[in-house]
Amino acid sequence: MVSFLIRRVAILVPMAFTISALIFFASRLSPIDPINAMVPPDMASDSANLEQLREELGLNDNIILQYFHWLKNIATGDFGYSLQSGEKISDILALRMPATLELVLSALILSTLLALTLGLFAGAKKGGVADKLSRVLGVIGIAIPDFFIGLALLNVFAFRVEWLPTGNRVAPGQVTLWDRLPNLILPVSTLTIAMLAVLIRYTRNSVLDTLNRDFVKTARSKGVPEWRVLYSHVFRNSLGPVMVLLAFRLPLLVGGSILVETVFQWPGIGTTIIAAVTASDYPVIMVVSMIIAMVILVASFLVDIIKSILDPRVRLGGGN
Amino acid sequence: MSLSTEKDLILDLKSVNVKFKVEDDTLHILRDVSLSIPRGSFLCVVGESGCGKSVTAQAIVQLLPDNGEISSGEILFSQGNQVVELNQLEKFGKQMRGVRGAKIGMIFQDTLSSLNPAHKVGRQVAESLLQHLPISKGEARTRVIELFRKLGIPDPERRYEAYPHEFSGGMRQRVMIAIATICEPDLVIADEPTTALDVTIQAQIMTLLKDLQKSAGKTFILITHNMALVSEVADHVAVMYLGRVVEYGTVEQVLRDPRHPYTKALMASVPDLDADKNVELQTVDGQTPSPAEVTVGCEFAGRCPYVIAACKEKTIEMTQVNPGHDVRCVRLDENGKLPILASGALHE
Repeated sequence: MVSFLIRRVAILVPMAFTISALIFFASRLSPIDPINAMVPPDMASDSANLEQLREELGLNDNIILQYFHWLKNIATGDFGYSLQSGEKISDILALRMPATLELVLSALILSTLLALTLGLFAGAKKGGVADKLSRVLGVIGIAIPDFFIGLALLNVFAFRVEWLPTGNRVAPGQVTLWDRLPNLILPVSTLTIAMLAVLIRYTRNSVLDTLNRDFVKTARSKGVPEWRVLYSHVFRNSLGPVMVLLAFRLPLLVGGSILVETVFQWPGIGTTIIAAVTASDYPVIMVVSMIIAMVILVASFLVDIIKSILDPRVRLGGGN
Repeated sequence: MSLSTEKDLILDLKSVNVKFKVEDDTLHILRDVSLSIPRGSFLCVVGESGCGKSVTAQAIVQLLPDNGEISSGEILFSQGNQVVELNQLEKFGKQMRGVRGAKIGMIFQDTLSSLNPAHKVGRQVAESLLQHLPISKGEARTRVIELFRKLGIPDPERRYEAYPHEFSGGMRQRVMIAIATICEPDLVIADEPTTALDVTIQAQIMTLLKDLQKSAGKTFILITHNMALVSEVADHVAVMYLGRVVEYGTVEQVLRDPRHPYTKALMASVPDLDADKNVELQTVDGQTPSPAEVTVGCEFAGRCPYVIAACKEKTIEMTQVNPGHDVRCVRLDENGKLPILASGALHE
């Protein structure tokens, strides 16, 4: 197990470097000059000023040098400044990250709990109530895009019956989470429904697959009661693919959901990305991309750990 | 609802019919299967793939796939001095579960897929024990290790903690045998237990099963398509063809003196070391028909060299050719013999 972990961590390092290089050089390949985004149009004609700014920002240095410089800054937590607002990127993140975390984490937990419960019951009793409910939810979630679900919910609950606010998170610190709860309900519901669909289907199908495996017959041939067969033999062996799907959703925690955040004017990372992209705010785009990529790396690492815990055969893979 | 009194039968199948729903069709997989199994005997059920051997085993313990059901017949199981009609019990009810594992043990063919990959093997064996007996986990562990040792699993304490994929095929089959026998069941049903193993391991496993039968006085039902195994271990043989038992008798009766044309053909297809190498090995001509085809009369008629019009007219009944030797064929004469074929389609 230890050597498995070491091998797995060793792969992470070169991968992280490759990704950082890709992000950096891709942004440098763009034909849009970041200087144009910084300088007001009336000053843009003064090429001497622009040249001076370039020099100060280090944009005239060797590109390899620039890369390592950027990497060093990122690694030491110095994310630089937004070209658009001039704010420190770390300040922007500190302000926006909690909003996204609050939204995505709630939706992730809710959808997981719901999907696992429904999916397990749906698979265990094909054609039962849970199965029917999960099929309806599955079709809705897969067929209807999340922003549309969001708009529909907004239309009904915020505009027609006016039970809930239209979203728009109240600034943290001003009020307690309890007071912000009404603002959370609609965006969280939207994201939950969107995430639920695939997860339910995955869980249900995985349970059905496992039920058909021979060891379930063996368990039954021992006279083990059905609930124990399900709990001890079926569910654990069904969780693998579901956990993988879940782990790959972790990056949403830092990336946010662009569409849902936009629909509900949620001041999270998703809306930050949109703003940064429209304004060609490269430092912000690069930092956010880098953070999301790193979380994806960690998530895939987690996936392997989870798999190896659930299925001891995974630990084999060479060595050991 | 009582077992025949002349012999001490442990299991008595009376005209068991099993049907499977496949899409819109209903397939009649077992047709009037009747088998009387004396306590302490070793019965081999033989036949080609798809003849219903495994379904018979699954029907006995009520572990048919979801789309299959016992449509009629009785499965009588003698439990002490009580006779239980297994097919009347609720599939996953307490009584049926009390029989599975505790009174009837099951051994399956593919050991890798039949063991839970996520659980340690010791735990999988102990599960059976803990389910049926009021003992502690520690006691269960001791008994499992003891049985592992008896079954020839080396280093049983360490192996208790290992996962199925860390075992060889033969060792895994020993684990399966441990699962099936740990609760000391009266009857053990082994569904092609050696098919996935190589020949030397096959022999070891068969010896193990035979020893268990002799020493513990257990009754065994071995399902196999390997005729060579049958002569080594069985005392009774049932030959099945397309969902029907076509011949039943002691191993001497069936193997030395086969009466049904299908059994004859099956025996002629077994390679023999002493045989003349220039004589080509016999095969059974044609394919097993699909159970979806509705046939009237003998199911084997389409491939049978002895076929006459009477074979296809109505369902053929079992006739006794010798005490304890039953054959389902209309071509037998008053001495229970098949007519001699002019063309010699079957070498004898």
